[in-house]
Amino acid sequence: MEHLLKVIFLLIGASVFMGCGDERNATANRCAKRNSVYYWETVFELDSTERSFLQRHSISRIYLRMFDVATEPDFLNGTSQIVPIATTKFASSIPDNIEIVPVTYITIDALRAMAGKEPEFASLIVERLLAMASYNKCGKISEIQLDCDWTSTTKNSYNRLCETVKDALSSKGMDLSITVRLHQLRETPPPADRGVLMLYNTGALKNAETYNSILHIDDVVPYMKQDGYAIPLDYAFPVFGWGVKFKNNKFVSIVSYDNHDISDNEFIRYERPAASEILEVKKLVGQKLGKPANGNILYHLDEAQLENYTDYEISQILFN
Amino acid sequence: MKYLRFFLISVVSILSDSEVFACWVPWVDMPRWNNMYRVYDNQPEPTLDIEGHYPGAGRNCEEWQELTSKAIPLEDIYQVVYQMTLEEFEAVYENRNAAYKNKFTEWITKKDTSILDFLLLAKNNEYIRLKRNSRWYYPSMNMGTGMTLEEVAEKALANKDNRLRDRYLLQGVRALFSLSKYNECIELWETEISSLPDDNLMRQLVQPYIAGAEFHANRADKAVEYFAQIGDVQSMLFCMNRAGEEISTVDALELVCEHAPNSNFIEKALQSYVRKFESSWEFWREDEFVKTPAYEKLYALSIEMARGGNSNNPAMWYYTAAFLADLDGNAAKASYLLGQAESSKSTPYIDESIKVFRIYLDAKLLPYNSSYEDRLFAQLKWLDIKIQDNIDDHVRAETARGYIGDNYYWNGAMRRIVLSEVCPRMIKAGKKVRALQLANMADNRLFSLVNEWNLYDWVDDEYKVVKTYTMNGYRYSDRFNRLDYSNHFFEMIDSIGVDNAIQYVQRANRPQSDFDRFLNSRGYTGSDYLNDIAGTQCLRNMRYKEALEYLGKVSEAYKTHHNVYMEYDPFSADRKAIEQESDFRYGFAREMYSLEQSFNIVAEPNRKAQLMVKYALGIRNSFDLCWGLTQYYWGTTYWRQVCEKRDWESDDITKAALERAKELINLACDMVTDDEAGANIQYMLCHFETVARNYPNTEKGRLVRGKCDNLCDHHAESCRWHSLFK
Repeated sequence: MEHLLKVIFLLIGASVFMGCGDERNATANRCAKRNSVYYWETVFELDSTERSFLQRHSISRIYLRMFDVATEPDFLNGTSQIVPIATTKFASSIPDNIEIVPVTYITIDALRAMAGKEPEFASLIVERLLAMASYNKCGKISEIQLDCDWTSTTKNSYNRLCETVKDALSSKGMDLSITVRLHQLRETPPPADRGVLMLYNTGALKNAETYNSILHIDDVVPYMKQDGYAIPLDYAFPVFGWGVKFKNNKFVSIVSYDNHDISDNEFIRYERPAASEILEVKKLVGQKLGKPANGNILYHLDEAQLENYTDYEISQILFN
Repeated sequence: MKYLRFFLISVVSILSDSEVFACWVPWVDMPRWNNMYRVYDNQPEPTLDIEGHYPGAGRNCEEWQELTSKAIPLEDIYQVVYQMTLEEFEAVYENRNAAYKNKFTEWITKKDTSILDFLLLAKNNEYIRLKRNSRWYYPSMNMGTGMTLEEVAEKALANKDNRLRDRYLLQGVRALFSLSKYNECIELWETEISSLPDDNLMRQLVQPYIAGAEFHANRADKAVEYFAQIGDVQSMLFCMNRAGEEISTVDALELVCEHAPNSNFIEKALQSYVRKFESSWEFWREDEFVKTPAYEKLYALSIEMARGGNSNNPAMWYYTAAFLADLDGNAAKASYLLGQAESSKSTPYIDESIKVFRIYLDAKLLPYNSSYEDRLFAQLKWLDIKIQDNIDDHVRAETARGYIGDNYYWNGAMRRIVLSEVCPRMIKAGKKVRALQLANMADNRLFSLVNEWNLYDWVDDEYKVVKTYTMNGYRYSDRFNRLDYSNHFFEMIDSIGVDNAIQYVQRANRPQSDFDRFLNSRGYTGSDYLNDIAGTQCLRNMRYKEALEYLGKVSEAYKTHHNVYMEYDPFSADRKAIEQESDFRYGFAREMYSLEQSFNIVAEPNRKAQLMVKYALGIRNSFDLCWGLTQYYWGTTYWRQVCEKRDWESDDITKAALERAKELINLACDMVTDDEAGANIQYMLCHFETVARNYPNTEKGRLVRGKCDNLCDHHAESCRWHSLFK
C-alpha cells in the first residue's frame, strides 16, 4: 500500500513538473501534448512517405480541413446562400492512432451573410463536420476547429457562432478550437476552448517589397506586445514554400517553388522559411505567449514540401 | 446603336438608383416594355388556394376527400397533407386519441389509420428527400427521422392496400429516384404504374420521375417522349441538349401538341416563348421585326392548333396567331384572327387576354373620332376595374417604392395601350388635351390607388423604408418631388406647347364630359402641380402676365417642394449668388411683368433703356443661369422619348427668347442719350471694356479704369454670358 501511494505521488509530481506549458498558457483542459499537422487539401490521400513521416515524428493528430463555408449566388431568388464548398474527398483511410480534428474555413463573406443566423449555421457546421468524420471513419472526435479571418467588425457575429458551436460540442463532450491570426491577438478571443496561432502568411503577399510573406520575424514582432492570451494557444508553423510572381512590381500569381518561367519585367520571389527562421519565431512566441498548450503543429502535411526540411529540423520545430 | 441605348439606360438606371441623390427618380417603365401576351395563368385555383404551389394539390385534396368524407373541408385536408411538418405529424401520430379540430386529422386518427400510416411514410420520404437536396447534406448525416430512404421505398412497395396502392407507388418511386435506382423506377412503371388509367393523378405525378429516370438511364429519346406526353417543354429541351441534340422550343412545342394538346405546360412555354419575340422587338422599336423560321413555325402551329380540333382552347391559339401577326406589323390580319378567337371556344382567362388585345388593336386601327372615344371610354372603364380588382400586396409594395413596370399585367397593359398607341394617335389627330388626360391616368392610376410612398435610406448597413407618406403627404413634404416630374405625362405636357398645356389645365379644372371626369379622377390633377407647370411654361414663352396668373395660384405649401431652385440673381449679367426663395418663379414673373409695363409707359429714353436692359437680362438669365425659371429638366431626371430629343439650349423657344433679349439690348443702346446712362447699361451688361473705352469720364468709366485688373472682360474672353450681347 505504501508502495502504491508512492507511485501515485510520483505520478502527480511528474504531471505537475511536465505540466501543460508554462503558467501563461496552462489552462488547456485536455493536456495531452502531441505533435500535430494540418492537412489542407481537397482530397485526403496519404502516400507511404507521408505515413512514414507521421510515424517518424510521432505525429498523432491531424487538423483536417473538411470543407469551406462560403457564399454563392442563389439564382432562384436573386440572393446569395451560405453553402459548404470544396468538400474534402477521402481517397485514403485514416492511419491508426491518429486523432482527427475536423476543421472548416469560413470565408469572411459567409460570416457577414450569417449575421443574425449564426445558431442555424453553427448547427449545420457541427452536424456536417461530425457526419463527415463519422462517414469517413475518422475515429473518436474530441475537438473541432473553426478557421476564420474575422476582424473587429465581424467579431460579434463570429463570437455568436463560436458560442453556439462550443455549446453544441460541450454537450457531446467535445472541445472547440479556433485559429488565431496575429492581428486577432489584439482582440479578446471568441468563446473557444483553445486556439491555434497561425504563424504563417504573416507578411503582405502582394507587396513586391516584402521579404518573405510566409514567415518573417519582423512581421511577428509587432504583435508580440502582450504576455499571454486569454485562451490556451498552440502554434502552427509553416513548412512549405512557393514562388510569388510579379510583373512591373505588380502581383501576378502564386507559382510553384520550382517554377522559373518569367517573361519581360517579371520576377519571382521565392519564399520558404528556413528552419532557423522558424525556430527564431518559435522562441520569440514562446517567450511572449508561453509554451504551446497542447503542442506544436506543422502546416501542412505535404511530402513534396516537407522534404525540404531535415528530420532534425522538423523535430526541433515540433519540440515542446 | 441599340447596345449604346441599352448602355445608356443601364448607366442612367445605375446612377439614378439611390434616394440619397437629388436626381433619383422612380422607375416608370417605358410602356412598350410591358408584355401584353398572356395565356399562362399562374394564379392559384380560386376555389382552393393551393394549386400552383404544388402540382395537382387541388385534385389530390379532392381525391382524399373521396377516400374519406365529403364532410371534410378541402382546406383541412390541404393543411394536413401539404402544410403539416413531419414533426407535427409525428405528434399527431403519437397522440391519435386526442381530439382534433381539423376534421381530416380527426378522421385519419380515429376512423382510418391506414391513411395515417401512409402519410407518416410520405412525410418521412419528403423530409429526407428535402434534406438530401440541401447543399449541407452529407451521407451519414443524422436525418432526424425514424427511417431511411431505403426503408421508405421498401415499406411503400410492400404495401398492398388497394385503396392506397397508387399513392404508395408514388412514394416508392420518389424514394427510389432519390436513391438513384432509376431502373427500378422504370420497372415499376412498366409493370404496374403505366397500366393505371391515364387520368389517375398518381400516375401523372409519377411520370416526370420516369422521364427523369429514363434520362439517367441514358435513354434520352424515351425521356423526351415521356416529357412530351406531359407537356414539359423545358425538360424536353434540357434532355435533348444534354444528349447532344439540338431541338428548338417550337419543335418541342410541336411534339407536345402532338402528344398532349391540352397539357397545362403548353401555356407556360408558349407565354415565355412569345414574350421573347414581343420584347425583342418592342424593346428596340426602331429595329425591324425579323421573321425567323421559329416565328413562322410557331405561327403555323398556332393556326393548325386553332383549326385542328385537338385543342380544348382554340381561342388561345387564334389569339397567339393574332399576336404574332401584329408583331409582324400586320394589325389588320391580327384583328381578323382575333375575331376568330373571340368566336372560338375559350376560357375566362383567355377571354380577358383577347379583350385587352382587342383594345390594343382598336387603338391601332380605328379612326380617332367621337365614336372611337366612346368605345375607348368603355374599354378603359373595364380595364380600370381589372386594375382595381387584381391589385395585390406585392404590387402595392413595388408601387410604394416608386416602381411601375411589368410587375402588374393590368396596369402594364393599360399603360402600353394608352401611352404607346392611343396618345401618339390622339396627338396626331389634334386631340392633345385628351392625350394629356390619358397619359396622366396611365402614369398615376396605380399611385393613386396605392396612395403610399415609401422613402428608403441606408440605416445600419440596411436599405430600408425610413418614412411612409400618403401620395398627397409626399407631394407636399419638404422632399424634392421625384415622381411627378419624371413620368410620361410630365414629359408630354412639358413638350406639347404652352397653349395645349393651358387648355389641359383648364379642362382639369372644368371637365366637360364623363370621360373627362373619369380620366381626371384617375390621374393626378393637383391644382398646385398643374398651375406650376402652366406658369413655368408661360415664363418659358415670355408670357409673364399669364405666368403671374398661374403661378399666383400655387400655394405656399407646394412651393417648398419644388424640384428646382434658383441660386443666382436673374437680373444680373454676372453670376451673382442670391438667397434661395421658394416663390422665385412667381417673384420673377411679377418683376418681369412690372418691367414690361414700365418700359412701355416710361418715355424718358435713358430710364426706358435701363428698364429694357434689365428686362432683357431677365429673359436671358431665365434660359441660362436661372434655367429653373423656365424649365424642370435640369432639376429632375427623366429619360424618355421626347425629352432626350429636345435641344434645351437652342430649341425654337430658347432661340426666340434670346433673340428678343438681344433685340431689346440693341434698342436700349440705340435709345440712350446720356453718357452716364450708357455707361450704366454697359456696366450692367459687364461690358467693362466698352465702358472704359466709350465712357471713360463717367462715374462707371472711372471705376472700371481704376479697377480694371479685377474686371473679368479684360481677361476672360470666354465668359459666355458676358459675350452674349456683344
